[in-house]
Amino acid sequence: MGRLSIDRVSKVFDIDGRQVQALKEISLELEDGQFGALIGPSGCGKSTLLRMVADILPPTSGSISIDGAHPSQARKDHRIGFVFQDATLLPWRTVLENIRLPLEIVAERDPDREKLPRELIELVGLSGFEKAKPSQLSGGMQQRAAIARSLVLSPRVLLLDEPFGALDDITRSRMNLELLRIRAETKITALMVTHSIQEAVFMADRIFVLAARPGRIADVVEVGLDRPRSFAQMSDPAFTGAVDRVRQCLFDQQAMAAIDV
Amino acid sequence: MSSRISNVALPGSVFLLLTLAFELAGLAGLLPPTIPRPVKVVENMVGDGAVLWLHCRSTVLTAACGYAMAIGAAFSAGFLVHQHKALETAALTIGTVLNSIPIIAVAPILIIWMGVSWPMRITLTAFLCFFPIFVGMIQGLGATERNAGELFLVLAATPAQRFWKLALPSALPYIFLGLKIAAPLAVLGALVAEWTGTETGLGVLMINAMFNFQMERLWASVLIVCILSAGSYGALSLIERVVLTADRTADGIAP
Ligand SMILES: Nc1ncnc2c1ncn2[C@@H]1O[C@H](COP(=O)(O)OP(=O)(O)OP(=O)(O)O)[C@@H](O)[C@H]1O
Ligand SMILES: [Mg+2]
Repeated sequence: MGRLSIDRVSKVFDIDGRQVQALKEISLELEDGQFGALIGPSGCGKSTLLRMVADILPPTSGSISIDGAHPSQARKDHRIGFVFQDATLLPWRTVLENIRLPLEIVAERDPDREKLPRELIELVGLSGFEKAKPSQLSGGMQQRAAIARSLVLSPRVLLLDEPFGALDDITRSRMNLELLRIRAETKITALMVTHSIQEAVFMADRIFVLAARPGRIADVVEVGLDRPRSFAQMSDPAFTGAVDRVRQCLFDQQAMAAIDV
Repeated sequence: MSSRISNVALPGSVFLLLTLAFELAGLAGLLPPTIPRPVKVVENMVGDGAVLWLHCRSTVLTAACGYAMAIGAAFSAGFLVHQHKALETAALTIGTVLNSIPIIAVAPILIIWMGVSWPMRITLTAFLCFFPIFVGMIQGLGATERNAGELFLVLAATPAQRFWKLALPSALPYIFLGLKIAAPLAVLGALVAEWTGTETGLGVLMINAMFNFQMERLWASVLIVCILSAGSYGALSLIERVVLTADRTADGIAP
């Protein structure tokens, strides 16, 4: 279970009395266990869309459902995991304590779940750093701890807002593989914001290309690559085809924007 | 490290030099009768030890109880304001108005209610200490990072969990600032309360020494008050350093 459905969602912000349409009539679907990527120019509303799915913000119109229920229900049932752009670890807690935080908040004594933080630390490759403070970790390690934390309540939907934006290419590729492995193990539905076309194609089953002002879906690209994914697939015609199509769509937008101005 | 040494060494040596200068001036007969030689003051502290100790104990007790009461009140008020954001402006306004009443003017009101008594002394001290701690609480509780707030929202944390697990820990640097400002105020509050006519306390000792022209005793009690004020501030700085380990500071040096 983890079906995500977004139906004609719009968001209007009130900025100093001025109405700004951030998103207009966004519709998208992700089947249970599918990996979706959101890509688009800066300011087109990707983070806003993710926030609405997580029930942090309400949509102005339209509806979002997770397994047929309102996002607030999914949030209260802890079926949503959220990875912020910056890791957002609590600096006064150790890595293990940070990853345990969601368990403390749920506060139900489930012995099976108590083992999970340590297993997740292993899964994200942070063994030996349980007692380290976030300030003692590199950016990539912090992000991995944040991913472990987002998984500790076994959510059905994982939302990731440019989780690897600050990482170098090699670390980023390794993190991509780790995330795909986690996905394969947990069968989780994921929606990830990224600025990298390659990353989007490598990770996703379905790519939603957004256009700006107002934020809207310009194209949906299905990626027909087998899983498990490997870097060898990057020279596959299906891979390069998808990359080209996404790039084309993003460039067309830029050209249109230039004409507008 | 070297800066920490010079933090202590520089004011320390200035203080020692001044003391030495006064001693020499006193020996040369240059000091007026109102300023005793430092050596005489120290002699008095030893000779008068029992009396000084008795009064010092009473002042410390008042200051400590008043300080604790102020922490309790500021903490409760801070918790309420955090749980009901609408109260914040009202609470800060009331706090500011109360804080603008001179402490000397508060004393008579408290005396009418409580008499010249221990509760009066402690309440007066708490009144003086409350505001800086409360402002530190409110500022700190409001200073949580937006993303961390959203994290707790996604986790469906209760307001109480938000307070204990997020707002309070992130407010600690601000709270310590308030606590450090309030610590010397606790000593001041105790002294003011004692001046209203209590039987014990360094404040009483000072007034009596002044009227009886016991200059050594007067200076000895002033010196003790200074030590109490500075000592309480220093102790809090130490506690702060232990509680807020290095990972909290901006430079992020690992402990
Ligand atoms: N809380 C808010 N109040 C007012 N306006 C907002 C708010 N959050 C976002 N916006 C506006 O909505 C638009 C989309 O912002 P959003 O952060 O979703 O963009 P984004 O696609 O995530 O951009 P980036 O790639 O740079 O992260 C922007 O124009 C922004 O000014
Ligand atoms: Mg964003």
